[in-house]
Amino acid sequence: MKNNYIEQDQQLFNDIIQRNYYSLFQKGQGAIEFFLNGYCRSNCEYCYLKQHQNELFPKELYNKEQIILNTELLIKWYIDNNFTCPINIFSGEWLTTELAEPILDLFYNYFKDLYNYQKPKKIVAPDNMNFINDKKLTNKIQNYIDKFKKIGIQFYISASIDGAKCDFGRTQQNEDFYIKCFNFLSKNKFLCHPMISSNNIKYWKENYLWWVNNAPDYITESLMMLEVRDETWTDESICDLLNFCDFLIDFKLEHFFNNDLIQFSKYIFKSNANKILNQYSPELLQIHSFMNDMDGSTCSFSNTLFIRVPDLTLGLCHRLYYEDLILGELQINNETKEIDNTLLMRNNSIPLLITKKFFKRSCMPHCESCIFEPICNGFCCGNSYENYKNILVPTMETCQMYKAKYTFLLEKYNKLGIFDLIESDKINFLSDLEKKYILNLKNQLLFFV
Amino acid sequence: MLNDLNLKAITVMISAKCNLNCNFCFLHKNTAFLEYDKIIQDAWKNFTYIKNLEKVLNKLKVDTTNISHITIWGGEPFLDTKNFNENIPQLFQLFPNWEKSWTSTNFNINVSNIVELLQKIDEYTKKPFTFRIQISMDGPYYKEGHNVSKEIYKQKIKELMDILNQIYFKNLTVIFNFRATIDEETYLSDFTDKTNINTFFNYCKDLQDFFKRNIFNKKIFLDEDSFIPTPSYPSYATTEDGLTFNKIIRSWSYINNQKYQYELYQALGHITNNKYLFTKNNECGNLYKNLTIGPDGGITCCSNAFISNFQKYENIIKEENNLLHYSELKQEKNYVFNPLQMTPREIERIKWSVFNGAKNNYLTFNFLAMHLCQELALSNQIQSKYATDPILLYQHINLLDNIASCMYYNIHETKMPYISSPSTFRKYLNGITDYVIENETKKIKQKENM
Repeated sequence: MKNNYIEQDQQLFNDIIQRNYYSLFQKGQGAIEFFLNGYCRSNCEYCYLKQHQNELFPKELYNKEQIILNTELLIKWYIDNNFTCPINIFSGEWLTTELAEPILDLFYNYFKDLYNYQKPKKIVAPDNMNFINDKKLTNKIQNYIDKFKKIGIQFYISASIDGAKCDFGRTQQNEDFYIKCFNFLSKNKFLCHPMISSNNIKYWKENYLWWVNNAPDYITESLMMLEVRDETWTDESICDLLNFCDFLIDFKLEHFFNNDLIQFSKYIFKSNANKILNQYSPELLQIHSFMNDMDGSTCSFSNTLFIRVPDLTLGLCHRLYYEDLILGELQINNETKEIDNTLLMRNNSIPLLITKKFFKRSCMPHCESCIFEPICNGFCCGNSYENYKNILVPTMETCQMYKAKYTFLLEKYNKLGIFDLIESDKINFLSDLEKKYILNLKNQLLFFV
Repeated sequence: MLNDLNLKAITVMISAKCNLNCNFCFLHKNTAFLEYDKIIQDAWKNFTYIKNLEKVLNKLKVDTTNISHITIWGGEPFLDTKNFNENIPQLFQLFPNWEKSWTSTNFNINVSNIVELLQKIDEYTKKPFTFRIQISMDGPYYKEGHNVSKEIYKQKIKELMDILNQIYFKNLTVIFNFRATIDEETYLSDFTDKTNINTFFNYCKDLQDFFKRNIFNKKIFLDEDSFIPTPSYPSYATTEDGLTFNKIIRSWSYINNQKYQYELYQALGHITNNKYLFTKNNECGNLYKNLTIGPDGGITCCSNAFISNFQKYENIIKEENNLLHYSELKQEKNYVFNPLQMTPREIERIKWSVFNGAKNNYLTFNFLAMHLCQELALSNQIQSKYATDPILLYQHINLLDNIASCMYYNIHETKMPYISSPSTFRKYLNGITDYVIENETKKIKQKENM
């Protein structure tokens, strides 16, 4: 009896993956992420990969030949299973390494002769842009972007740069670096995702103005500024964040919306007033929970299958590759030498898999009773695990930061008169439920402020 | 405000050793237990345990006047109670509203230890006090390591009752009950045969009748008339096992007894339609409801994990190269901490993550369990009706939240306190919950007709 249940668990594990991931991938939805390596030359203070590299991507896993071989197996597996979902390539830094060309060649060669309906629409690679100082390498990468475009795949690089006033961890930082970056990004219409951390927030006002003055307009107007969700937020840094939000709101209202409160309101609640202003920004008050397709997590945790390439293990996400949390692994068939259809579960991981797939923040401890839950950006399960060994409890300091921020935003927007507009029905893009919620929240909180 | 603990119960250790070696015991026993027992005994002897209790609760900002229940735990608690007994007056000073206690014993002990403890409590309590003692036994299956025959039980009962019947308790009421745990595998194989069920029932009934016949003290009671054993945890059930369990549970129904349903629910590990039914006695050692505090002030996730903060225990498991238990210990240690060695900020974070995280686990449990069970149903590992009827599924899962949300076994099996492994659901959602609901519906209809 004690071993038979394992067989049933294994069967269930495979069934869940098939039903909830493979079927999604075959419709072009969700995503698969290849975790290539953990190496990075930068030294960004808030980076979890820097702090936990040995656990998330042990050095012994870095084997160039194995990574390339396994990437090829994974591409074949992707094609054989009729997947068409986007592919993310995640790493510390890989475009400057000896992995770049062989990996990109593999993707290109396997997909080039397929019909468009058999290919992923996107291959996405967040990158620290360290390659930009090497002209030859930059040209090679541009060449790959162009080649992929010709075969109907967007090879998309999302720039992980925080800005000249906040890029403290960069190894190659000078004006020339940013000029080259922006030229490259403009040519391809790529965007950036700078991070707001407790360490750099006091420089962000200056940094934002730097973005406005130096980056192309299309980047600045939809600049994704995401708060680092970790335990380092202090009262002081939270105050700095509120000051920054204050500045940001006034600046955007004046410079992007010509003081048009209604259009601005549409932006902060729906983020789609202007089609390019659609990335995350700290001043937004999007009501997530009432949107049916949102699980309350603002990352790709639920619908992405994360695969650590050298050992083909499946993780909850790229920052949860801790040994105890490995979900399972893809197996190589001894005869065909290809990836088998049957996955091997590890660590009795079915409940973890269920939690990952069906994650809904409004049902998690603390969040389920929080009045801010419908508008909150949510916590990072990885940081929760690092702090508490529990992926479902939000980090206390992150929570404090968001509660302070949302309280401030409500107060600010109230002073600007946005809630008057809602109450007088001059804003009609909110559903009745959303209106009720946001007015109720405002009344509750500002009663005490 | 979110971090305030509204604690009403604590658990203290009065021993770490046990004189039996039941094969399904939640404790993985090694020599570290003897050493830890010495630490516990010394702490009571030198009164440092009670001082540490006070310091810990003070640091956690728990109002000790709110504590009304103290669980007394072990090992086998009644092996050596002398040192603990000396602290009872101080315990009443620290916890002036202490009015309930609970413990579990294998009863293969010197019964005078029970008597002395009860007398001491009666001497110092100023208000009505209820002490529940669970006698843990296996029934006829003493070959599984329990090694206590019916004859020994009867002898001990007689010895105990001969003494207790002579004592006048001014404030104390003592309630005994029997509880049997059977190894899950044995349960499944033996009880498919109704003869064995019959044998078991008669064995237990005989013991309980003997017990009742020997009670002449108006302050002593035996709880429950009938008796059904509980399958041990953790569960390793397959679908077939779940179907077998269902048949076995229905086989017990020949016992035509009013209290049968209560027994059934308790025997199944607190399956109930009333989630508060079994928390009123604060038996569960889940740290949000009942804080287990060790002799040095160390806190563990529940009373079953009391030794997980003892370094020697970890060292021995490592030496034994016991990977399974080491992996379990690693999970337990995520919930081990000592407020006496923490800064106020660290305590605030612990309250946030561990206590308040545990507090809200019913909602999280229900949510995750719903999805896991739907997947189980879609894979035909539990009844398929659950895949298409979420309201029905929710109704059935609600019955299980006391069992399947056991933080201790969950962190062992799944590394998360909020959800059980699929085996637990396979065990109960292949007919047993249907049976519970059928019976509950019948009871309601009977009441309406009366």
